[in-house]
Amino acid sequence: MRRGRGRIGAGWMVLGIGTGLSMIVFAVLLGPGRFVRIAGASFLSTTVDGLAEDPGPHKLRVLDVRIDQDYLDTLGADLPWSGGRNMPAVLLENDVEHPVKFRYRGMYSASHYLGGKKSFRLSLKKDNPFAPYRKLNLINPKSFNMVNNHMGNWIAGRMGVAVPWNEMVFVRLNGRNNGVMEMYEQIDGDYEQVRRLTKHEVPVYRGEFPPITGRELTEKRTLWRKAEYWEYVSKADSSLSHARLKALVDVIYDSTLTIPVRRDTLAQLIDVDAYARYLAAMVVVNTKHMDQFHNQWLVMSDRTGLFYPIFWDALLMFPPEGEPLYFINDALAHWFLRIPEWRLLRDRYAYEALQDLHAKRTFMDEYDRTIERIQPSLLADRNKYGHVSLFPADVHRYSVVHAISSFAGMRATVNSYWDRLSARLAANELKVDRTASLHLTSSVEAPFELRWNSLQQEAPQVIIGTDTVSASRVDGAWSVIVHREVGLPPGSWDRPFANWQHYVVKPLDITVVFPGGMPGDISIINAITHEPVN
Amino acid sequence: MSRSIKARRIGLVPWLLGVAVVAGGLVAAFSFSSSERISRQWPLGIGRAEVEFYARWLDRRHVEVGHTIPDIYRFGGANGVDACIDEQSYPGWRTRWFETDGYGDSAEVRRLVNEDGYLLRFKKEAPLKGQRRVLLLAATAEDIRAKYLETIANELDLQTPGIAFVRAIGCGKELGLFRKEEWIDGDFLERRGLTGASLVKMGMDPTRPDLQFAVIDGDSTERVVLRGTIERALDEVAQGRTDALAQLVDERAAIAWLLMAWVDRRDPLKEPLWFAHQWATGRMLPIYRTPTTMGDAADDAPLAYNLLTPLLRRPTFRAHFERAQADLAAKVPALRERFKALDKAWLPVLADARAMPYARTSADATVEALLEPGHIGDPNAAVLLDRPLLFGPGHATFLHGMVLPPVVAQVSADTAGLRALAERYKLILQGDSIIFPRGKYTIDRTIEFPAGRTVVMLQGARLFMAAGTSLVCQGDLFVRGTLRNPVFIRAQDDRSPFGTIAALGSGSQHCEIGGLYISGGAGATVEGVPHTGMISLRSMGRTVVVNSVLEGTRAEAALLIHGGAVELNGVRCSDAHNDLIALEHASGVVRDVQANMKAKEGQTNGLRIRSGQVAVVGGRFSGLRGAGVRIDGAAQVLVRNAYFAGNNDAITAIDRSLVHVEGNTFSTNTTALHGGSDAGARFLLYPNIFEGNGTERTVGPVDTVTPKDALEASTAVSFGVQLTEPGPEANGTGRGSRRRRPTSPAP
Repeated sequence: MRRGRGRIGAGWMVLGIGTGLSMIVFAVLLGPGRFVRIAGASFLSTTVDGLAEDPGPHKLRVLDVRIDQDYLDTLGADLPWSGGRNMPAVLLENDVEHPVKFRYRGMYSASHYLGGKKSFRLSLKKDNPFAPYRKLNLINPKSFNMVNNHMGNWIAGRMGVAVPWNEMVFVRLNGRNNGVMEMYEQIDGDYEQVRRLTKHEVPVYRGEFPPITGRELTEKRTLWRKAEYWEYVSKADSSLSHARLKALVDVIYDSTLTIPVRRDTLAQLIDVDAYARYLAAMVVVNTKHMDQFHNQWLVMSDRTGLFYPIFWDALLMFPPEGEPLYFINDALAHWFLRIPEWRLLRDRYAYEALQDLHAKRTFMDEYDRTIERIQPSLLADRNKYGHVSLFPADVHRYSVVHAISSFAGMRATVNSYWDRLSARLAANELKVDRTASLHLTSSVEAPFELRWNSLQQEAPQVIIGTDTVSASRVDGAWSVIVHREVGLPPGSWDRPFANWQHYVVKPLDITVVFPGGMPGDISIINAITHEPVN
Repeated sequence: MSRSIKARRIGLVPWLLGVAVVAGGLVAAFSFSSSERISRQWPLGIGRAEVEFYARWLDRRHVEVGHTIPDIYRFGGANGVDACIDEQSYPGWRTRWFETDGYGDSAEVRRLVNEDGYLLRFKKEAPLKGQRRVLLLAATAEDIRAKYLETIANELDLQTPGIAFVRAIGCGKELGLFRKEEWIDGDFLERRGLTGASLVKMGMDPTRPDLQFAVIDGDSTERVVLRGTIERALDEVAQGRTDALAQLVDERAAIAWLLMAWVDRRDPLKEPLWFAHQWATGRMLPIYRTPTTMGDAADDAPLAYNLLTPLLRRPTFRAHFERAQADLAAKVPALRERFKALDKAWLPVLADARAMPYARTSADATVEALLEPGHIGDPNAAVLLDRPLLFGPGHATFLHGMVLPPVVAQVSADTAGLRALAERYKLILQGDSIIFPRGKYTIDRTIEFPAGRTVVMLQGARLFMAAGTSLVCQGDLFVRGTLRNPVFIRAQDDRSPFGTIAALGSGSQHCEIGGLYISGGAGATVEGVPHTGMISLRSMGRTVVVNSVLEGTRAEAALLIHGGAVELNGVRCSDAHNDLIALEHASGVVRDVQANMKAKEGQTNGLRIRSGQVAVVGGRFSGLRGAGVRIDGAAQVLVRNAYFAGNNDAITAIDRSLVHVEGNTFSTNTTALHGGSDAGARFLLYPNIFEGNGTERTVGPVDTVTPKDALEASTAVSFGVQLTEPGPEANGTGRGSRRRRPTSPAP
């Protein structure tokens, strides 16, 4: 018996033509690039994700949030503008219902409010399962691998930079799987208190885009232009902290100060070591996401009275253009990186971190551990939404294939970037002409350290170029650092408030004179790595 | 041949037979399968609850069912709120009426956020059995594990919260069984004699920024100083040096804690660490709490820098840890016996008769898992416990401005001084030990033996102490005499008393005294620390005194023990100023003590117990002008099979104390049972013999006397004694052979 192929064939043909036409229409409307990405994400998420039938129990913490659907509808009625009201909700933990307040958060990035996985914030009572934390942001991860931000945060925390508490969780919203999200501590005045450092709130400032009052995104403002641009988010007394913030802004704003004066004044207002770590973390994480306008925090330490920054919204491998060694993310960095000793301190922290994270594979071990922990939840997450193209509104469902590919991509990107960065910091090619003085020439970027032994008790004077410096004792030997000169690339606007600038290291061509006589056993090392020069 | 296609009818008998065979098979499978097999993790998604459900009906093995009746906690309504305790909302405290056997007062109740249970807070002036805060956690038969762990922790001389099981009733409604656990706080430390100590809490999860610094229960100065000390020690660890940490943490307790962490298979990331920091010694003493979660011991996920696991990097510490493993493995048979007693006492409380077989099976499996010799003695334990360490996120930044004390090079404990001392008195220095071998020693000045040194007095040693001189040990003290060949300590001149023989520990030291004859001490204050006993033992982890004679003292007490676990056996005391034996904040068993007074004046007590939980078993208290046994400070005491004769008061209990009185003989005392304090006391009166006493009871209006028929096994076990253990009759001490049968108490 033969089947009648005619009618079925026609049906398929009509369906095929319809599909083809719709594809053509979308391809024409969206452009081929966007179309392929959206269609590919849609196809893969529909066909591939369902194959994971039993992903196993979650290894991530599971957050079960219940909120009246009417409230949810109200909040979602006109996003992003409608999501900011706190609505009563319940957080279920160990079968205990904890009253919480729920609101959507994030207006600037569409991944927060478009798609099926919206970022939100929970405000909790003092006695809650996450105590001492009171406000938690649940963020739709920005990258396909979902752990990009989490790992960036982990790197900075490990480098000793103040970071918010950050944990990957699996969220269930009103009994449905909302999927993997990133739980972030919302920072405010209790930042030191929750870390058991104080018994009271401390001054904390938030450097963010201006608050939105209407239905329009407000214009960006350069944070370091005015102290008022920093939003005070603490209940602690602000009189002293505000005066110090004003002083700090003044130092940054005033372009007439000499480097030594600026250095000494800044050192009385900011925790230099903390900032050096912060900027080192930025170069290691390779991010430009903390900029002149947002993602900045200032905490006035209860112990030192100095401001230190918090690494916020890390975005691992979100690099500034051209892979600069000295990227200027904001006006404070503009001055900070001009001070040679501080630049060297930053470089040493960066190199130390690379030795730990890259050479010892600590990062990859943690990355593997994180992937292993997230895997069951990732497979169970059928609600993965993200930017599938560079077009901001293209927040669509993506598949586990995207996630896997992104994991591999991140691994390769991190390894190759850190190889290059390590090589730059460790490069130690130096040409030395030894006569009555030393003539040093080099095209690498590292500063150099000269060491020699001497029975002399008083610190010897050394003339480096035109500067006379006093040697200092290091490990029993006398030592001076030959710092590198940095400058902006030709054509750049040398102002602290200019965006996306970076410094370049000028080639070294300098003479070092020892007025007391050239030491016989002088050794030259890379000042960052402490390795002898070639 | 072809089969008939007509359906055959299956009769009733085959049906029944079929059902019976299947049911019989299941019953056999459940009843004869090993404990380990039934309680293991089942495949195909079969949950433990399902197995338990089927076992209720199908496990028919014989199980001995005890008759322990747990304490009942009754809760009333809250002030101004209708909801009963089980409907109490989170969070916050509610004041409710609370009643249990012999206690009735309002108490504050708070529902726990992360666990199914409650925290109870009692009034300062009316603690429940000496405890101001008590944790109640919903219990199942599996909670017997916590009791096992408590037993092992006690065996290792770790400070650990006491655990019991209670029934809760809220507004007349049964709420089920709860595990009652002591709350770790300042009162907890005080109850264990750790006075002058601050409580420190730390976490081991390096991803939690809020757990990276120790939470210190103290004033702001104490917090700054102690945090600096801890951070300095951890900073040294990060640089590969553990000397500062070893100086800070009590080694013996740290080893015991780590061993417990290995045995209980905890997830260290989820369990906080508790320490008592003693300002007098500068040492941190870990406190053990049974874990709420189990983890993977082989997990190599990093831990936060902490005060315990880095010590495993020290070769000597690791060697001691491995020796402790071997010691614990050797104790497994004895522990099994103790666990059997616990099963008998508590399993009937935790499971009803039908669920008992499964509960028993589950308990057996738990015992096997805990005491598995291969696990306890695992040579890789130290390696697996010593995980990679990480500082919490941002740690380096937060350290800025923190006052860190300078690293002090470890000074060997006055080695030169000790050598001179040894030469002078012909003592033997052997490793860390200072040995008094057989011989005569004339001690003419006060000697202090530093922490970390063990003092050993061997049989035949005779110490003659000059007037006012003392011996003070800050490490272990061992007196190894025998009844035939004792160690003597006495004053050089009978009219000029010496000071004291004292041991001052930090919570984990041992003191074992056997075969000691001592007389002529008056007590002394050394380095500002008062030692009011002729023998004065403070803050030792465990104190054992056996077969010793203490007499003729002008000190407040002949033997004063403050804090720690105590075991006295066969101690004879006579003639002291206030108390012959004084136990303060101590817990343990006092057996066959003989206390009598020759002097006819004074108000001397035979045994004074202040706070703590003590069983007095056997013994003879006679001729005392005070009380045979005086109990105060909310102590809980069991007095069994003792003989009281010719005392002013046989037993005095005051100030919210609780005393179980069972199987004793009270003869010719002025008053047998004496109360009358403002705060009251509670007497639980079991059958005893009363003969020829002036008055049987003199109690006040606040005191309660509750007649009881028989001592329960759980009560005996909670005091650390067995219900059926041999009495004085069996071991031939006391006058039990002439006793008459005890009579039930009059209501």
